[in-house]
Amino acid sequence: MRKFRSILSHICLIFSGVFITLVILNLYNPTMGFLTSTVSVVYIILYCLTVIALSVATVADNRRYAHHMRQRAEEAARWKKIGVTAQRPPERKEH
Amino acid sequence: MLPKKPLPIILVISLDLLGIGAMLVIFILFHHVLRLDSSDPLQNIVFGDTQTSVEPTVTPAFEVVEATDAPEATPTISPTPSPTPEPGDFSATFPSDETVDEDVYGSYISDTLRIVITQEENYDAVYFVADVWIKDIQEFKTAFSDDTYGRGYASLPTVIASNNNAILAISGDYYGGRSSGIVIRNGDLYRDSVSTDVCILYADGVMETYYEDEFDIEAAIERGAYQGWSFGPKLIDDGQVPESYNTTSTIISRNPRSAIGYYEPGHYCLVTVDGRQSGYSRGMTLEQLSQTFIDLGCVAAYNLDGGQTAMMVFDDLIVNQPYKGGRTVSDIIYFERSDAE
Repeated sequence: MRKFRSILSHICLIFSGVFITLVILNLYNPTMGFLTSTVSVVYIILYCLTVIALSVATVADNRRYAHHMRQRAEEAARWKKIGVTAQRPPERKEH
Repeated sequence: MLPKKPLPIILVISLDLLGIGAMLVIFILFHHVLRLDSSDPLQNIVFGDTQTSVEPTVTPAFEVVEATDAPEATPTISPTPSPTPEPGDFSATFPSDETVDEDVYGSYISDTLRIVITQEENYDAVYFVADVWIKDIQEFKTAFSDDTYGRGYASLPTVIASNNNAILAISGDYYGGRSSGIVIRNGDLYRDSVSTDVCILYADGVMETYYEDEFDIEAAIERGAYQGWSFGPKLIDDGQVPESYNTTSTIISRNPRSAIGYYEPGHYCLVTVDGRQSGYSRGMTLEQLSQTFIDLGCVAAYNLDGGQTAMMVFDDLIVNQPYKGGRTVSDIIYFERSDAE
């Protein structure tokens, strides 16, 4: 997942660079339609899809991390309840 | 197991920049190089056969005079009245006088066409004015690069002019650089989306310029639009320099220019301004260009694609001094040399 997110991030970076270039070109020659041409529209759609994919991946990753952290906290709480001298608590069964 | 060592940051940045470059190359490929779109017109507005041309009946008196330093003179016009002029037939106003001032850059006179080119200088800019009289609207022609409508088709104006036997030609609106904007050529509608100010030459010889929000394509078709360009902006508003222009500050500032002006049906002028060449010509702002057309006596004028594109061709020779030698364009406005020549 981390590799997937990393690739998506670089794609977003590349698209951002392309659009910054196109905006500058458009300032100099707006009649050439650098931002309104079919290719630009395709790029915008691809950029949006990449951003959506990256966002979904990030949110899912964050949720998984939060879930993992919650599990760790619960485990830590159980350890605290049992006491530091006690043995490791029995493994939780995943539902 | 140790986590994989990340790539050096310089390499990552280089790869990203390479990616940006690759994406821009793909963009340019689709935007400029690859030939796209259909070449068929959407609708025929006027003149069923677009190849129809008026055959001149008399051998033209052709003369090209070398340019002189201070050509101030304009041609003397003496119209001959005609009793029943048809729309698009300008015999009534076509000048019968064949004498041309010797100080002009070049001239061409035939039975149906009269062109006088003068070189002028103002606002630190050198510009060329082609004063054109036509006897019939079909003398006023436009041509596509490779005789094909579509994006990605581009040739030097000299090549398109030569292919169409043009005596006079100027670069057009470079419709191929955009995917929107009105394109009406020789009575055929090729593109009907409005994206900027519009210039329409009607079959009755009247040329009108419109602001983007006031243009009605249906009304223009109904009235008989013969030629239509989309670049702009409109240069004359009610006989005055417009208070503002419907374009960006980059376009408004000093640039080489290509523009078209209108006096009356059958009488037009094409103006090419040289620019971006210090010591020779700095180009004109849109305000200066508007004032130039008003000074020439035009009632309507429209800015075409300028910059490196601006080029005027007369008798197969480049009249002006295009910035960086000019570039390939997708279309021209031209007047055909008589077949009898």
